[in-house]
Parts: sequence; structure tokens; C-alpha cells
Amino acid sequence: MDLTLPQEMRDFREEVRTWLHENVPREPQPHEGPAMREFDVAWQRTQYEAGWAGINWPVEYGGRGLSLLQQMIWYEELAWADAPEIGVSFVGINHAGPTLIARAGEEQKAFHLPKILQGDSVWCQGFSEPGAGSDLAGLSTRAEIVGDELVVNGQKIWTSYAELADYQELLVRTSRDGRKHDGITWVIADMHAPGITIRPIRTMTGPAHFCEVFYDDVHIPLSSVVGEVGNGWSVAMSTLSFERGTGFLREQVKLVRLIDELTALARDRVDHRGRRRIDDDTIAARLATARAETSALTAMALADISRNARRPQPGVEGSLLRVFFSELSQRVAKLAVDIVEEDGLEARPYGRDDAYAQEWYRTFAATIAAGSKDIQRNIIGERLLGLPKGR
Amino acid sequence: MDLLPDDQQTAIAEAARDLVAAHSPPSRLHTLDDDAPVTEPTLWRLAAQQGFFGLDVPERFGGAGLSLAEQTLVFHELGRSLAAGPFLGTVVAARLAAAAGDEALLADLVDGRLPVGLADVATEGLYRTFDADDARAYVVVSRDGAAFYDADAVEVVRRRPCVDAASRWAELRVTGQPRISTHPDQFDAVGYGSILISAMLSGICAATRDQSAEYAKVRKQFDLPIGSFQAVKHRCSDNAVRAEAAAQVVTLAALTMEDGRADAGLMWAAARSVTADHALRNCSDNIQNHGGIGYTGEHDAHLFLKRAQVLADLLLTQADVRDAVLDAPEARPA
Repeated sequence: MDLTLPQEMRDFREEVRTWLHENVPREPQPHEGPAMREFDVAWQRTQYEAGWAGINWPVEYGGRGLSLLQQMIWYEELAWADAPEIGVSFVGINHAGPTLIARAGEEQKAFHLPKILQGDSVWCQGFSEPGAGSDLAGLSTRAEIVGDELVVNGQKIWTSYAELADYQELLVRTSRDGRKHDGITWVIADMHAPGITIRPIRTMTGPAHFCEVFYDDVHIPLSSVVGEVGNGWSVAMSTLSFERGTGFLREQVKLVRLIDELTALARDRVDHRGRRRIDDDTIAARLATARAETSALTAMALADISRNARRPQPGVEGSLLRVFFSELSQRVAKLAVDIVEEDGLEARPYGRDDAYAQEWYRTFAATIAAGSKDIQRNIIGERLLGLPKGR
Repeated sequence: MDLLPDDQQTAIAEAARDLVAAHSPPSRLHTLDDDAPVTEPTLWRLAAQQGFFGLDVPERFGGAGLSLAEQTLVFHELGRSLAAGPFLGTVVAARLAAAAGDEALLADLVDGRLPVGLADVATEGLYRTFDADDARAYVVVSRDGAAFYDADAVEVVRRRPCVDAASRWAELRVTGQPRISTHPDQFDAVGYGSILISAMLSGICAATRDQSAEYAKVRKQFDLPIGSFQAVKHRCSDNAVRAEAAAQVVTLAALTMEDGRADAGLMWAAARSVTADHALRNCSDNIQNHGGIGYTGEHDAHLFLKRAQVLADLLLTQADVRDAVLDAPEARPA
């Protein structure tokens, strides 16, 4: 148990701070469409060119080959520097990249990883289907092996930024025999391939973040399979572990900052009777609880990083962090809306600093995406506590 | 940076767990006599022998020269087993004596020869302790600092029965001079004590998590273990989330205090707030998970709840904790 960072790490943090201070784009980040892609990949490229992309990715694929601790410092400082959201780069940097590093073949890694880091390719995820959400292994998008190709037919849904993506981490069913988990294959799909149709879906926050994706005789070379045919479930699970763990460090720091900001806001704002919002005991109590819980979240995140630094793959303990973080972020977002009272009723564009209601709506995704909070609790119950499976 | 225990720290935690479980399991509380001391003498003696009263006391004073982080591991285990006795007061007193440089007193404390009750502020001019049947001296902790009183410098004004069988409640009046006293700038006794209290509460979070999970594996209804039903399983999982948050925030609080970091004030207050809330919720869920047996006096489930209630009330009121959290400076890494 030790919080101190070696001098080398403190120097690294200083270097990161200085660079971010001088290089973080100050113009507003677009939240949908081609303008969003253009902005997000430009920012990714800027990071890459200065040597800040893929801090703990292997050097041979364009990364820096540094430690998880340095990656952690980078994420923390991004949040303190008000850097742009990761946006369309999320899946490539936080899911697909780490999965490829862990499970892909040499040629796949050499081709894709540098492109992800350089902002040359944008990735999306093709996991959920209309009939396979929490029961992900029940997916039915099928792929037939024809010669040296897979021919894919079916439908995916809730695919964020599909219309802006170049590649997709796609789960398909290659066999209906045996256990349903065993007939799944993880494959890299080219989103520009013939037979793919994309239909955007509006979200409750306003912008159309996610899409339906239809596959009609889409041909994918077998060389794009990651792992082996029929082995996709285990490849997919390594991806989800990444998503639930350190990938969210930055959002945790943002939550710390948001609470400090809300405390200041509650000290400034007065209600219609001229009373400061912080002098409302329920607001003060909720702020204090949220600040305390966010401190605990920081501790949990540091513990999770410490665990993951000791082993090659993130473990299921990430679900503890995920449950606590996702529900806490919802409570904090609702608290913000309650502090501003009727201003929370105003339709404001998503992404504006004072769009508290829209930010609250966004947090509803946190307990659904990356495994719903119910699935997370099943994982904790069954895999950490050893409780029997059931429904 | 590594928040998890290393091998030596894990060994300390395991030794503490084994020792406490062997001599003072929670069920011991069912058998305590009303007017006799609550401390299990063998546990107290062996705890002293293993150095548990001075883990974070410098070696030149007879301590182990480790840190508050190791001390929290021991208190986590004391909390998990609902160990009875003046552990908190004795260890707070040791740290106070170290801060004041009173080597003779330190030697008595670290060796376990002088069990010290923890006392906080009751009403005007009076102090409150829950160690009345075991303490041979008192450490009084308040906003103004900490002070050590020998037994003949205080008198018991009145006794009150406590919901927790092992908490022996008395209100005290100070009649003599303190042997030593410190200002909060010298020794943040409220923060330090709060971290130890939080460690015990986090131990209760872990104990109730495990008790519920074990029961849910063996108790059958509708021909299935109740842990296979999501309604029960998810409560058990929530207990695990709360126990993890509690354990980690205690470690972070201990390390920030030892390192003298700017966010130490926020972290101990956060630890107090989170561990109290999480322990009481875990204890409540644990009763629910056990159904009718959980409501009985003969089961241990209510013992956890009642101890958590007492711990959550020590040194600071809920309003004090709230203010401490809100008033602490922001926590940007240096």
C-alpha cells in the first residue's frame, strides 16, 4: 500500500500537464456527424504525433511501451486539462486496440494498431442485437464459411458511431451446435464493405449516437477472424473487461471535478426566496455524500489499476467499479439538475457547459451499456462471491 | 503507486484475522456478562505480543515502525469479528504519546499493559466513552485536540445501557489534569481516530457481505439455493460493491494522512461518510437475506448492525462528517 509516485512519474505528469496546457484544442467539440469524426481524429493524430497515443501499447505497433501507471497519469491529466471527449476514438482506443494486442495475430496487429493510434481508422462495436442484449451469447447474426471467406447476414443494434466508422469488432454465429457460447466468432468487419446498411437512431440526449447495422451477404476474409473461429466469446470477454476497468479512469476524475464545480454552483446560486442552494440541507447532504462517494471511487479506481498492474488481463473486479461508478454518476447528474431547479427544464444543446439535464439523460446509458447493471451484479454475485447461476 | 497490500501487509492482515477469529468471533458477544469487562484476555495479550498496538509507532519507541495503512488492516479485522475491548482508545493514545514524545507511556500502551478508553465530547463539560468496564485510562478526543487522562483524573457521572452488548457506555467528568495533551496541528486525533473507526466499519462491510453470500449458497427455497435468485444475488452483489468501496477508501485515507497530502482532510472525512453508510446498509441487507433467523436475537446479524451503529456515532455526528467532507480542499494530484 503506497501512494507515492517515483520522481520519474512525477516528471512524466509535469511533462503531460505542460503539453496538454499548450495543445488541448479550445474550439467546441462537435457531437455528431462527419464534423465530429474530423475533429476527433484530428485530436487523436495530434496526440500521436507528439508521442502521447498508446502510452502503454507496445512500441512495435506505434505505442510508447510505458507503464499502466503512466497511462493512468495521462487519463487523469486529460480530465484536469478539459481535453476533448474521446468521442469516435473510444472503441478503437479502449476496446478494439487492447483486444487486438491481447488476442490478434501478428499481421492483424501490425496493420490495425498503428492506424488506430494515428487516427487513421475509426472503430465501432457490433455486439448487441435486437434479440441479444444482456443475453449476448444468444446472438444470431450468422456467418457461413464459404471458401476463405465468411458470409454474414443479420442485424446489430446500439452501435455507437457506426456511420462514422471504418472497422467494426463484430460478433457472429458460426455454429449452432453445442453450447451457444461456443459457436461465436470475433471478426474484424470493414464498414465500407458492400451489403452493410446503417440506420442512425436518435438518443434521449438529442444527437444520434448509435445505429442499427444490417448485413446482407457481407463477405469478410477468414484472415480477419481474431482468435479462432468459434472462439469469439473468450475474445469478446477480454474486450468487456477492458471497458469496465481503467478505460473509465478519466470519467472518474471528471466526476471529482464536477462535484467541486457543483458545490461552487450551489454556493453561488440562490432560490426564488433568496436562499443559497447550499443552505438547503438536502442539497448540502447530497453534495457531501456524492463527494465522499467520489473519493471512494477514486480509491477503487486506484485499487483496480493496482490489481491490473499485477496481472496480464483485467479481472472481474472491474464490475465492482463499474456498478459503483455508473450509479454514482447518475446520482451526481440528477443532483446538478436539482441544484439549478427550473433551469433543468430548458432544452439546451448537448455538450454545452450548463446543459445539466442533457448530461443527466446521458448518464442513463451508463447502467445499460458495457453490460447492464443487472448483468454486472450477476457477474459480481457469481464470479466474485461464488453464488449459483440462476435467473 | 500500489493501493493493494504487499506480501508483508497481507501477512499482517491474515495474522490479525486468524488471531481475532480464534479468540473473539462475533458469537462471543452473546455470552458477555453485563457488568464485567468485555475484553477477551488472551486476544488482548496476543495482540500486544504481535505488536498490533504500535504498528505505526516508530521503532525507537518500541513500535513496529510501519504506517497507519498497516494499522487499518488490523482494525479491519477487529471490525470484521466485532472484537470487544478498548482497541481504538489504546491505539489513538499510542499515537498521541508518540506525538507528545512520552516514551514511558508509549511503552505501557504498546505492550498492552494500559488499556485506554476512547472518549469523545458528550454534552457541555462531559465526555462519553463506550469502554467504561475495561479502560484504565482515557484518551479524550475533540475538535480542540487530544488529551490523555489517568483513571484517577476522571469520574463516571452516569452509566447508560447500550444497544451493542460490547459497548459499555458512561459519561465522564474530568476531575484532574491531563498527563499529556496535543493540539490538532500536532496530531489530528479526529482524523486519525476516524480512519481507524472507518477501518472497523469496512471490516463489518466485509463480514456481512461474506455472511450473506455463504447463507445464500446453502439456504434453499423452491428447491434452489436462494443465491440463485436475482433479488437475493443482487443484494449480495451490492454488499460486495459497498465492501470494496469501504476497504479502498480507508486505505486511501490512511496513505494520504501518512504522506501529509493536501487531500488527507477530504479522504478521512470521505472514509467516515462512506464506511458508516455502507456498513449500516450491508448490515441491514444481511438481516434481510437471512429472513426470520436474521431477526432473532440468537443470530449474529443484529450484532453487526448494532456495532456499526455505535462506531458510526463516535467522534463526529453525521452533520460534522457532512461539513468535514464539504469544507475539505480539492483533491488534485500534486
